[in-house]
Amino acid sequence: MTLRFLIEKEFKQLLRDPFLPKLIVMLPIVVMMVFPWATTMEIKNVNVSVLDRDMSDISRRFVDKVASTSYFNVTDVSLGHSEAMQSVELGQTDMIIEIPKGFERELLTKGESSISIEANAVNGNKSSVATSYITQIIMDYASELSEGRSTGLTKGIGGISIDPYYKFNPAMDYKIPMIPALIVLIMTLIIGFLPSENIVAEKEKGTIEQINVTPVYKVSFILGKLIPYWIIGVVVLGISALVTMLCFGLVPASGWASLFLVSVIYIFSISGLGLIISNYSSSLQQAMFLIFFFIIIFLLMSGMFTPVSSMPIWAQVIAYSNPLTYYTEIMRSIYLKGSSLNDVRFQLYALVGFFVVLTTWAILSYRKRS
Amino acid sequence: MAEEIIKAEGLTKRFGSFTAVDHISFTVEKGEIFGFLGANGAGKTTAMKILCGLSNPTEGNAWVAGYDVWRQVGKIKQCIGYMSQKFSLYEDLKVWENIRLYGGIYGLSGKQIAQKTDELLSRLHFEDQRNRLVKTLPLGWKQKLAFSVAIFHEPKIVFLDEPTGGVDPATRREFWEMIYDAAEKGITVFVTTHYMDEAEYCNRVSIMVDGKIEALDSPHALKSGFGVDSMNAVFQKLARRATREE
Amino acid sequence: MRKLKRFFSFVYKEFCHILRDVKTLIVLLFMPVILIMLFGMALSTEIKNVKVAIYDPSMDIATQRIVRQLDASTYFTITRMIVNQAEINDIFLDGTAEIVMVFQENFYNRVLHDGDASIQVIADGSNTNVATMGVFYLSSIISSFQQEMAREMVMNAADPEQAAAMAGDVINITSRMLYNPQMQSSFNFVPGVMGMILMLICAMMTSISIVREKQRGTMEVLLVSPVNPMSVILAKTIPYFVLSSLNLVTILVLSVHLLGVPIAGSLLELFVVSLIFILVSLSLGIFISNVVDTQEVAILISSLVLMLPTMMLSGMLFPIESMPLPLQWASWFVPAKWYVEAVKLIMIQGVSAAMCWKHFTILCAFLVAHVTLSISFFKDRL
Repeated sequence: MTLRFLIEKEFKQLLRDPFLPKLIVMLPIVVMMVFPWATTMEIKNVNVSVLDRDMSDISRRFVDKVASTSYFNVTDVSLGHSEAMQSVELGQTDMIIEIPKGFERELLTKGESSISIEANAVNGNKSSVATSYITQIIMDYASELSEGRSTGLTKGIGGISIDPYYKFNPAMDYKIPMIPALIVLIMTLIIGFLPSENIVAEKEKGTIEQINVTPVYKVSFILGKLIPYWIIGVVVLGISALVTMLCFGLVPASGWASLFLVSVIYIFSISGLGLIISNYSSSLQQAMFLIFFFIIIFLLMSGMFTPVSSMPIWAQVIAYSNPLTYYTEIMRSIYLKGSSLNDVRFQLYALVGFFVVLTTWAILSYRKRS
Repeated sequence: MAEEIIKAEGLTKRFGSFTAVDHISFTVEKGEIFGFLGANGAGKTTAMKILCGLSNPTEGNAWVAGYDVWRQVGKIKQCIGYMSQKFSLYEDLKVWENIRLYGGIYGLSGKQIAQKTDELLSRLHFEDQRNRLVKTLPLGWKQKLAFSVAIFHEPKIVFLDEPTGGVDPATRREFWEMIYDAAEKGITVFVTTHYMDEAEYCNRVSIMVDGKIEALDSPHALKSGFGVDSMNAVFQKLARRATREE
Repeated sequence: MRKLKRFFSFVYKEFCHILRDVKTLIVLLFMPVILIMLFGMALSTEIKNVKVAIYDPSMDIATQRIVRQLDASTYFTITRMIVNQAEINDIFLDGTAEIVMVFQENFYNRVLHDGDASIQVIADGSNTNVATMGVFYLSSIISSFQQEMAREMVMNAADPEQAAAMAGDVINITSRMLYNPQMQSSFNFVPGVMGMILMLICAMMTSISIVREKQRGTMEVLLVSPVNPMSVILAKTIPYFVLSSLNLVTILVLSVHLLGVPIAGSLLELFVVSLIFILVSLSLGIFISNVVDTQEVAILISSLVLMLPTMMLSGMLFPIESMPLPLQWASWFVPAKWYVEAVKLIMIQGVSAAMCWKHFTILCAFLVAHVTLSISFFKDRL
């Protein structure tokens, strides 16, 4: 009964806040509209300097082939290696491709030649992806050349063709897998940040003292704080999903019911975290730094941006003690793959576990007396 | 003898090596206006917080409305009202919304709250301010509102921590009238203050110096005991003994 | 002289505030350590242990050799041998595999005689990076298998010349990774973490602490004192300047000694550009504190409105040049982007500062802009 009054109060304060309602509406809209374009690991527009020392028909055709892909921009076909290196130093060139003199001749006579690549590897991922693209192009080109010369009587030995198919995302749109991850990001920021800010602000203003002398139960007080954020969480999810649908035409493959169901479980589990931190901090500044610290670690260690399977074992242990990891996995499965709840049951159990532990902790650590 | 509604025995609170409240013992009788006096930093607020269940004592015992402050805090909170030194109603809520919130927390129904709110606002001549945000009220009105909210659920005891700090004399007088009204209804009032003229309005006062209670009696008895003619003079004599800085 | 003394008494007061708040201080000092360790040692964009399921109806020497080679590589782990093609769908749904390889029947024969062997590779496109790189590594394993086979054929063939002709053309690729031969992700992350931490501490902490004083009314007290209001603000930023410089040193020491990231360029230049960036962030913090009234708003602005772009648009995690043009333009307004680029150039590529004059100039321009804005808003309000 008391709870009703507490929840009512939270909503009145929230709606009267000059900033929060705007944030709650604008953040999901802006993030969902803009960030899918920004958070792409796709490597495009790699700037290439080509040193074509052969200047033959075959080498020129190769350069054209490289330039025609969307991955590479052939910025210059300079002649000197040192000029090319300088351009790498200035950050204008990402990769130097050097075709040696006699390239064509060796290919025609011995059936074997070489090309050398130098990549700016400061960004290791970019250089390895770019190298893999270029390798692919060179291999294709080599087999094209052999086919062109073969008489048709002999097919190349061991001609194994690889026929890739990208399930759930056939066009390999890099934005698509980031969209569920960005929803995770927004939900975590809003549901993780706001409750902790709220309680500590009450501490700083002294209003919490007036509540503490009343006979209100710990559980009602905590729930009075949490329930409004649970509702906000659902609203934020709704806005994000709507924007996603309108801008990218993406709807959850497993259906809306599954999306909302798993998200509500996640909202339950993550909202406790902010409360725990606010219970342990005495000033807003302190609370914000703690929560920021945790959220950054949680975001980075969730497999949202880099794969969990590439982490060393100790880091994988951290990743699997992180509710975001499970929610990200679930959201990708639900949005893109159309997995049933049964398929992601393991992750769901984990989230329920987090909910129980974190909420209990939040209630126990809230002290009405000093 | 009247019923003892607050009883403290050797109540002590330490913060590290600092003893804020040092073995105080006293009783407050039902229906009394009990003045709890002392200089800044004498330990008044700390003692009051223990009695309200906001803070645990380090040693000693106390009973409020017959309930033990160690074990029955929940019960105590049912029968007390509290008004803190720092204004602590929600500034971003309207007048009626604050009243409704606290009424609700103390278990009143929506209908009861609405009815009592009307009564309260008309008694305070506050009808026009019903929909005003609390942060826009002048300080004196805020204090009156805070007091009204503290006794809205008709507690047995109300604790007031320097309720008239920073308020103009006219409003202070009105405030004390409200306190008398409450006392007439049978609410015991436990009030800290450092305005000595206000001490004169109390049935009994205690004077705290450096965490200890140095004097406790009716204002009249204290004045004659010290052979002076005002509470201010009593206080000056006692306060001179203080060694603790603020 | 007296003025200076007064100024330092303010600075001292600010230090006291910070030193007394132990929890925040610990977070401030350990955050860089933890972030550096996570980014340097835990996070990698490189793929490893991609889960592969295999459908192999032929079970001959060729398929088994390919499967063995896959399993032996660090990129792949074989999680399931499928017997029935109908299983493929479920395997993706519950995440048992990220790639499924489907061989044909009679695979070896087709390779040997028909030359039309093909392998269908189904990859889970819901994780694009893993899918692209996985398919690439898979193809290179298969093509090296192909070459191996060809070589064996040539050696065993009765007519070596004909066999050689059949083997097709080969272009060998020699590749060299400049600046980062081991291709460690940390080389890319360290400059990004530097930008993030410095921005976070300077902008967020200063804005919150100034607004707090405003909110509590203590700012008013300071402002009615005979001190120049700007110097009150300045005094508040000095401790954070010191803290950030301390963090800068921590980050550099850890990167060099723990992660093995080299400082190829001049240390002095690196410090200069970092100090400029710290000033840029501090002035941004002051600007925020001048335009907002409550701590909550200061926090939300500095965390969400400031940190998200810093993380996303500084090129730390996501390559800016792959983004659509409007976002690339937007990134120009993120000071961290310029700082992170300058650090990459100076620290890792060892380029001299003269070559990144553009970055220096832009950072200084940000500084001037922030300071001007802060001053103009400050006077308006007080």
